[in-house]
Amino acid sequence: MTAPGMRAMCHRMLLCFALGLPGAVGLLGAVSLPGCGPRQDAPEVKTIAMLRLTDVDLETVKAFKAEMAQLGYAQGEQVRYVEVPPAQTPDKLEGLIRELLTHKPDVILVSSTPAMLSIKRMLGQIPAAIVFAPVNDPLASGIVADLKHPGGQITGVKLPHVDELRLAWLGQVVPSAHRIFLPYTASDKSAIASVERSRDAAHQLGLDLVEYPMLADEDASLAIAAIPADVHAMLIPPESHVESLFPQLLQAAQDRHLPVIAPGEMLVKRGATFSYGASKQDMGRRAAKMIDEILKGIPPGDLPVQTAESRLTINLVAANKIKLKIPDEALQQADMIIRE
Amino acid sequence: MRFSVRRRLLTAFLALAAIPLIFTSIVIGWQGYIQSVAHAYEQQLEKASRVAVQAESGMSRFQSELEAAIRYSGFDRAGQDARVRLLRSLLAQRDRYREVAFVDAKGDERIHLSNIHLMPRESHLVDLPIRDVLEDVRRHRHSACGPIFFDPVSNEPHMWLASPVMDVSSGQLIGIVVAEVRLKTVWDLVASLPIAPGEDVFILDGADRVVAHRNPSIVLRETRYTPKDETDAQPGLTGSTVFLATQRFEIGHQGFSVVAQRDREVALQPAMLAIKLQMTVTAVALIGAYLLGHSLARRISRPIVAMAETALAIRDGDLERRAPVDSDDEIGAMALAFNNMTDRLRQHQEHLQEQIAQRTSELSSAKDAAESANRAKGTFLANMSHELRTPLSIIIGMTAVARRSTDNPSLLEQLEKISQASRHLLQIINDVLDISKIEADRLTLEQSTFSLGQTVDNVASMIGHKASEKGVRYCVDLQEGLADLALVGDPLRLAQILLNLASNALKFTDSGSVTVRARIIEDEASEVLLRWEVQDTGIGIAMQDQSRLFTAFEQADGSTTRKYGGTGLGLAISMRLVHLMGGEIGVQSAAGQGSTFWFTVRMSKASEWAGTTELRAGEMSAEDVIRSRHEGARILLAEDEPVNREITKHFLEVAGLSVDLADDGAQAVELARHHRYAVILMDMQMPNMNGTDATMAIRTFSLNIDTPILAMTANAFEEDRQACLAAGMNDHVAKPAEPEVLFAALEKWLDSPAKALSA
Repeated sequence: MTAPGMRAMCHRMLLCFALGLPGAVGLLGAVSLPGCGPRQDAPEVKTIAMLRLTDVDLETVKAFKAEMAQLGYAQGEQVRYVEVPPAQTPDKLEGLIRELLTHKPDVILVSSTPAMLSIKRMLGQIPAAIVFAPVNDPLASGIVADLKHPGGQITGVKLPHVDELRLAWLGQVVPSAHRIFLPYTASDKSAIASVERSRDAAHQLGLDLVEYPMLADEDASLAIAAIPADVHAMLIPPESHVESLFPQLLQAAQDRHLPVIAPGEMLVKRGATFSYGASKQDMGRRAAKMIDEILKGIPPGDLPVQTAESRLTINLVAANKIKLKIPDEALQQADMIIRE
Repeated sequence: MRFSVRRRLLTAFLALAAIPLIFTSIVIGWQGYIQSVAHAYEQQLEKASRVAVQAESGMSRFQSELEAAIRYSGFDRAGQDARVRLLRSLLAQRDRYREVAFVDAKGDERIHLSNIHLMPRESHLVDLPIRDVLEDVRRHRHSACGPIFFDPVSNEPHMWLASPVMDVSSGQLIGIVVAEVRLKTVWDLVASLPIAPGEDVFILDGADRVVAHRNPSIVLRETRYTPKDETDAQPGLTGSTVFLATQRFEIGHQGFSVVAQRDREVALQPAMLAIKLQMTVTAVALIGAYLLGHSLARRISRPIVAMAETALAIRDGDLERRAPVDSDDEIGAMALAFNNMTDRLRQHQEHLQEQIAQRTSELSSAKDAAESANRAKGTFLANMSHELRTPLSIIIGMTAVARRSTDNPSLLEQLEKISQASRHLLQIINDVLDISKIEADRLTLEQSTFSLGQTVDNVASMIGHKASEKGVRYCVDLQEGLADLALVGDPLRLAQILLNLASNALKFTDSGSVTVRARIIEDEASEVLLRWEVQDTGIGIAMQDQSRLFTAFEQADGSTTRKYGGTGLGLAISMRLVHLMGGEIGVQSAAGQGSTFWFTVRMSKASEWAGTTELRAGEMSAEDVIRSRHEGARILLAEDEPVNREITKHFLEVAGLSVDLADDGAQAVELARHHRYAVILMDMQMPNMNGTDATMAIRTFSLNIDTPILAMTANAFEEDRQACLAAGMNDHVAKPAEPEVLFAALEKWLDSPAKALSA
């Protein structure tokens, strides 16, 4: 009998199990270990287009990019920006929008009400999410119907209505000022709305507003010529046309030793005495966070329209130029003081 | 084969491979699932705890800030302007405070500063739900906060926070500082959390409202959600199934919960990936095991299968086939043993074949000898029959001639005794021939239509006068209608049975009666089963002798033969004839009480019976008919035996017929070519040319192609009669022929010569 032969055959079978099974079981265990799963695909580079009417919001854009970088969106890696020069005039906006759309943006960051209205008109051709930063009054301009739940593909940051508080701050910063010169563009709805709020506040505060309506393409000369001799301050409304005439108006005010009240800190940096209004940095940061949420999957229409933070900025250099003494209590409440 | 060895081996191999693999996969998959669930819960709990700490820290900072501003600024002792300055500096943190106010102990608003309202309205605070908060502070003398609410303009969350202003020395409540704090920092905290796809973190207030979520819309819609306090999967905030963890914290008596959730699909994704990979690896391993098992099973089963095929081939007779011996193991040893066994089987088979051939040769020789002996027996019987009948026919014939030639009563009586003795001898010869034919299975029954009554009458006519002579009554008892019943069968053999039984009954009955009885015991549409009884009042048969009655050459006892004579063949022949007719035979008897022999026969019913040519009482005899109708008719008699020839010629001439004689067949053929005859009587065994050849020659070319030819032969076997008919003869008359029988046959064929051709 050749029992060894049979035993050898059995041994061969056992060897197969001895080698094969642990190998298979080991392979099973190996694939179960962390790190053995499939790699996740690299994130897609998102495209953000930017549309501006003027250079007024340049600071907002800078703050926006900085905040995006803080949120982890490295330019060229997670995000790329498509920018075109400011339209300067509303009639050029549509062409710029078409140019931006050729880059198939995921989000369009829009600044100014006219730019946003142009976007709104072309919304059927735009698949991207729209974030405005800022728009003065999105409800009044018809850009959104509900601030809490704008719906659709639009949301953004609106400017705070602080015209009243700005006049109230005038009482603290320049307590002696009672008669204020206010130039504004008569055809700008948001400017008119701002003037109306200032008018009501002045009435409550016992101030006297000297209003000077301007044409949309009017230069500063007539407005400067119209500055009464007995006014104590000049109030710059939050509108792009008057702001574009700021250097001439500022020069005229300084010539008359008039403090200039600006809607934003950018003009304070350029020579206005003080401002109480929306912070462009804050608007940029807010816009960045909203776009971050959108890129993470939240529909734009679910994001309520936010209101930009207001800041009190005082330019002591400008005050000194006109020999204006600003009370310490006011300085203590300022968010930023420009001393040199 | 339903389950081959190969399949069983493969199945066993696969089972051995699959069971641990599948078991391992299940265990690993289950462990992965458990770990993923635990990992998801731990991660969410860690995230919820971290956010809770941050949120609590952020919100409690308002409280500590407010309390510090009151305690360390001397707010309790300060005047109105100083308090305004203090509160204004607090309000200067515009991103944290919207409004701040001071309410005295009576609840009157003394200071109200705002970052959003130009001129804070009086009683503004008391119109707000903060009254509950103020009451709480007033009662408990510590800070409290109100519920979170959302500003309709800014859409941001806010909360009222109130801290008591106590007189340092007296501890009396001077008033309460109230601040509307902005919780956007908490909101931003949640929104800025690094959240992976499928994850979510949000904060619930005490009423399960979502107060902080990265999607502000969920918060502003005042979504409510109540998480279950369990680690199992449950519906999440947006409806999807999630694993979640909650962490509670409290600010100013307001409870909050941080909820961190992860979608179940996301949480289990690693486990599911691992399970898919495990299934893939298991499937691949099983395929590998199948291939390996298939190869091994084939390798192991190949010699077994080959041996099975060899066994099947050997079973089918291929003893040259040998199992392949491919391995030096048990299977190889088994194949060797199998081959050795086949060798031995082959040798044994060859030996058997030799023995069979030898036995076959011996049996063949024995069979040849037996057949030769049988042929010799048949020949002997035929010769004996012929040789016995020939002189017997001469005796009977000559006796008949002599009886016709004398009127001397004494001589006639002597001649009658000679005739009776001759007939008895003829009966003995016929019985011996019958039993021989029956035992050789050469006896066949005729199937002709006959009348049962006619058969019974014939028997009665043959035995009735003998009974009368003996003084015994012979009775016939037939069931009503049975006498007219037409049947299909062999009437002569039926009559032979009845004659045997009746003759026996009469032989052993000295007084009383012999009764022949017939009853129908089964009557079907096409056949009947008849029961016959022959009852006598004779000596009876002892019980012990009854069993030997139907054995050939046996009688009840030896004395019977000596006393009553007989060959002892009658009952044996009757029994065999009854069996041939599909019936049974038996006897009921006791010594001294008579006997009843019974038998049954099954016969077919005939549609009609054409009647009989038998002679009827009162009619002319056949001899007279011939003499009257056919006197002078020319008859050719071919017979080689001179005495027979002389006797037959005498009978024919006495009947008025003209006779030409032929000594052999050739002479008969020659005469038939030149003369026309009414009937030709042809002996079968003749020199030069026998009767068969002569008949065929006459039927081929002569003047008597259609002349009736009647065979006359001592060969009494049925096959002899069939041979005669086959040669072209029309009828058969056995020798020794009784004159009445011969004349009856002649009358038949002289009256109907046209029957010759059709017959």
